Amino acid sequence: MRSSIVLRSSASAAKAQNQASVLKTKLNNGLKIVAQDNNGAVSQLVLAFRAGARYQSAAQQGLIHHIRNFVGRDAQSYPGLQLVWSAAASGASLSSFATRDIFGVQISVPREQAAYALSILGHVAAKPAFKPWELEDVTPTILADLAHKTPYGIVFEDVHRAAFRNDPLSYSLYSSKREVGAFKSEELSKFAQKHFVSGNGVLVGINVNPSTLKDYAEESGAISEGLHVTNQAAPFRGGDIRRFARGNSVHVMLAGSGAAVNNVKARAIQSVLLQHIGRSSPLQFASLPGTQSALKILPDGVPGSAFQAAYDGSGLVGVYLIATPSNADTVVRTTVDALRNVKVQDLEVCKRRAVTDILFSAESASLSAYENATNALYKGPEQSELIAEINKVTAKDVEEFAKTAFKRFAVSTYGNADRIPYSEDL
Amino acid sequence: MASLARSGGFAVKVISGSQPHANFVAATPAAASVVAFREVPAEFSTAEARQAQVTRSTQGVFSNGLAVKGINVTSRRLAHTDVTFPDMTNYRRDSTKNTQAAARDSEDQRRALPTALYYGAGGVLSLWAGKEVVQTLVYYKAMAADQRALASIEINMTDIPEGQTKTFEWRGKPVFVKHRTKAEIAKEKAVTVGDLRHPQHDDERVQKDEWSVVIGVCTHLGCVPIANAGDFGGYYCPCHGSHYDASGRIRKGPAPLNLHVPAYSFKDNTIVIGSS
Repeated sequence: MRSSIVLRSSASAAKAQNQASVLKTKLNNGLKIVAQDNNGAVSQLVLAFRAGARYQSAAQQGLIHHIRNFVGRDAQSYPGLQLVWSAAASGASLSSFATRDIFGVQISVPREQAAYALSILGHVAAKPAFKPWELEDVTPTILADLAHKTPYGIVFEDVHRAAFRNDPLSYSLYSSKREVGAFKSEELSKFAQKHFVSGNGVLVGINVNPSTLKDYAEESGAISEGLHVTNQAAPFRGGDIRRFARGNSVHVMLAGSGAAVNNVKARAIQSVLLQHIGRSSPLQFASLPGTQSALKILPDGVPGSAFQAAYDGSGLVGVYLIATPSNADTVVRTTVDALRNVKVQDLEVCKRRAVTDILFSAESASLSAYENATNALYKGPEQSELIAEINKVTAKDVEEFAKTAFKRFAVSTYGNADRIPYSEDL
Repeated sequence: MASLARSGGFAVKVISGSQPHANFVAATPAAASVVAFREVPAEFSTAEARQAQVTRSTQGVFSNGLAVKGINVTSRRLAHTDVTFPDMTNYRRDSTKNTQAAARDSEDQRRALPTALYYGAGGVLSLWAGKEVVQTLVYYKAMAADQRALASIEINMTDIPEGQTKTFEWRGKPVFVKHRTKAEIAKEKAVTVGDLRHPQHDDERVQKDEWSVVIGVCTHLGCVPIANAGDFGGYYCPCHGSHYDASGRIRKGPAPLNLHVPAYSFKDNTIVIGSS
């Protein structure tokens, strides 16, 4: 972004009220609106739908990846280039994103341009045309995504397959190589017509005037009216996926059954448990997990960190490790042992770090926008509710939660995976 | 613009505070040539760096493992990486299609046309210039035109056997010298002069009966007649069919006059044309 725009935006932001204003509402057609004005210079706008990877059918795996990479191509009423150029000309950056629960488009834009960017957002996200000949341009971008997967990305996708087996939450966010280009325009349009509708959507704006957001949602008509789409339950089952690759390390993900989005208590307990297991501080030069953490049992040179992934109805909680073939077996077994025998002695420290983590992540407007969108679409708690709930967590809660969560494991590995124990043997 | 729309990805450096990330580097073009790595890369050398990476990867409740594609990220476009070089194969010579071969190896093939043009056109021009030089020299050294107009030629009589006609050039015109047989002489002497279009007796046209000397230019329109041809055993003009007899008199056809007899004289064993 040009510095002149930033300066102008900061100046106008400073002139605005110092009071942050929040709006959370639902329109008559079912569209949800979440607006939070922190008076920042750059607006983050997200239009998201209940249309993540879990809404694909078993025969459609990879569809969401195609839809995501189709963003920025022609919309129903405007050529894609015109929309993308207009976004660029107003200083915006535009990206499309998907998780298993939601799909959407995000724009970061100087706040004076927010109303203009919103009008682009509506067409780009909710009215894609999926012109058949554009598939040829989209296919290489999908292949590029596949070629640039990171080891973490690979084990993270695989642990879902292991944990949820054949249920929809196991579907990858990425198309498999053999399905690249396999989806026809009609199939994509059909999915869009069903899912990109008001009953399924949420419009999130950070650092934007709430009334701007509401006026656009009520008056533009860019988002067609439509009904809420339900999803299929995907209980945690556990299992193994291993992917072999050359090299001297092995990336391991051990996951147990975690909290669902709308379960406030479980999510509060889970975020305290994560701190107990071990997460490094977000501050620089403080990246080793705390001495009190459960992961202190890891040998030198084996990094590990707790992770969580919450979805509608199910969730994952566990640990990500990078081991070597020689120590992989002991590292996995001792980690599992530590997870199953949680004894929380530094509860207060864990709680405060959990709250700090949440507040730090709120510093990033784009991350907050994603989290707000998921929480709004799946009845998740607001930040303040979650923090209040964390303060009520007891050591006994955490220990019991860990016991049920880590009864069974889902294990995914990438690299030299010969020595990794199978989940049944853990 | 197509490439602009395709470029993207997050590259964020945070000095303090939470560290947002994208687990997947978003698309760069030229994807067809990119292959997924088959080896676990050892990017993070120190324990601290590895731990920091692991922590960053696992951050977030919903944005953990988020798949993001940048649609337009205007300030991060790397023109040199996303503009592919156009394929010019269709416009290249066959000899230069192999990009691995050194240029000097294909020099002969590549330079064939210029070489052919240079030596072909150049050769023709030098030949012409050479001819001009030689011609100029020859004209310069040759006899002057005023002298040549008064020149006479000598013809060796032994060179022409009886019954034959030979052609010589004299003052730019052909001269027929005919060594007549007895039968021809008798035949020409016996012709009735009154029947001729241009009445001349054979005696008026020869100095010695055996030798008839005439200028080989048809009196009709100036063609050169063919010797020993025609209905009368003399000359025949192929242009309009004038027949002359063995004394060079017109007998048939459009020509109005007999072939001219130049001034000539006998000297020992030669005929000198141009002197009387």
